[in-house]
Amino acid sequence: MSGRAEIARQPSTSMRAASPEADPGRDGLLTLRAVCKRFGALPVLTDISLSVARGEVVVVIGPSGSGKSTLLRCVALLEPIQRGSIAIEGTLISRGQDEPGAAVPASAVRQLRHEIGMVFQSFNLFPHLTVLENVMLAPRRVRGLSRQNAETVARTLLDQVGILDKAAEHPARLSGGQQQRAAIARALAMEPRIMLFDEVTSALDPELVGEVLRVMRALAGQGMTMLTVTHEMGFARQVADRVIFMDHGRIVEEAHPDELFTDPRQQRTRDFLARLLEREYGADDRLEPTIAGHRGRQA
Amino acid sequence: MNFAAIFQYAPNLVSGALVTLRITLVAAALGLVIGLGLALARLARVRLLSWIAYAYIELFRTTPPLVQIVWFYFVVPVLTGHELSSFQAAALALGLNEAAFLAEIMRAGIQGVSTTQRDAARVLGLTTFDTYRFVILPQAFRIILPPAATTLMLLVKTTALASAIGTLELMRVGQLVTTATFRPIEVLTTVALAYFLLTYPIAIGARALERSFRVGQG
Repeated sequence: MSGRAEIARQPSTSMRAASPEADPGRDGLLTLRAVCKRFGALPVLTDISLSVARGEVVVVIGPSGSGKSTLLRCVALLEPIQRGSIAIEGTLISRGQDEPGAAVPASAVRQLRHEIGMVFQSFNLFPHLTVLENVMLAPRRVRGLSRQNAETVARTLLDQVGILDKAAEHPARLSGGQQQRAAIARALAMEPRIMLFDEVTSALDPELVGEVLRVMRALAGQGMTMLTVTHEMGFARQVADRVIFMDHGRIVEEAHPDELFTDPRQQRTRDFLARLLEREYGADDRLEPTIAGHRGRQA
Repeated sequence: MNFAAIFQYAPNLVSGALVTLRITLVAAALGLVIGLGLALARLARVRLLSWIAYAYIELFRTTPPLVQIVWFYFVVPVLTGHELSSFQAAALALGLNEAAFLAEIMRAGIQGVSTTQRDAARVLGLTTFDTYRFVILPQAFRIILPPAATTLMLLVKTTALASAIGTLELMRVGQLVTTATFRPIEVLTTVALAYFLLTYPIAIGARALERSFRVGQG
């Protein structure tokens, strides 16, 4: 047992040392080192190194197919990686399959999995359970809370995201915005140390986007560490401590939002931001099919 | 038509119907448990497991239940040295047969639950067992219910084949009463009505269950 724990912990020191982009004032909560991911022969992520400090809000932007969602899915341990490593507070949770050495022990993964909360574009609430049951299930089964305690936690969180009055309803009776807020409450109920948001407003009607962003803003305000993929540039600007621009599976540029949005260094970043602006203001109708196709594919 | 002539055999027919019901219950229970096991094995990542389940399912789906019943009654004792009563042979054969059909229905139901549900359960840290128990199977159940109810209704009627090995179930009793009374039309009509009474509740129950889901989920 102790041997296993050592294997899991060993790389921590070297990894902390090797993440210069982490804010020295804060600990690296999530650390990705040279992560490579392929689907078959197709490379999706290439050499992604990234560190998210405790309490930091990092927004990932980039065109469709740039690997943003896959990046989150790798961190959430929904996808194996081929090279590199992913660690939470120095403890290895995922390691490249192609690398020599043992895989991360399943026990370590199980213990750390619920430290990472994830919210999906398509909500993915359990349709056969009520909103309250959706939020209570994992705390009861994984954290071992009693029904009573789990319900108290769930009601507090549902109140926090503003849908306590919908607790007894099934998801199908809720609007998209309410469903997404329920999904956020469900993830928070596991008391994760980091929350991953995968284009959580992309499937929503425009008038419902605001209520979800408000919840996310409040979370960021409470000091939640967040890694967020989004097309909401307003949100990125206001809330993000750092914005990462990805293209073709690589990190092209990362900077504080003020810097990245006003003075991007890379041509590819400039092109992407220009396209986004055109979409916002409808300057060029020829771009519409691209964006519609993009949305369709993601959904 | 003279139903009065067969009235004195009513207790025999009732006991036959009860045997039919018992065969059905035992076979259905076997079918549900083994069927679920087969469906999960079919979906397992272990090739060998999946292949064995596949072979089992196709073996039972491609041979007539009458052959299976007779085979279990006459051949299993030869192979194992254990005598099977005609009731046991019929219930076992039909149960194993039912399992093959239910396995395919359950597999389709499980695969019909969106993979995003699995993702959601996994990021919450649920174990595979809990994911199946609380997330996948309850949703799969809704998909499985209508076709499963149909095979269970078929099962009730297939038990009539047990008459071939002399099990005193509804059909066999009907044949005996016919021989005794020379009233085949009345007897067969009564037997048909009895099968209807045994089968239709399954249809009603399945419909009621389906409706209760719809109410719950709006």
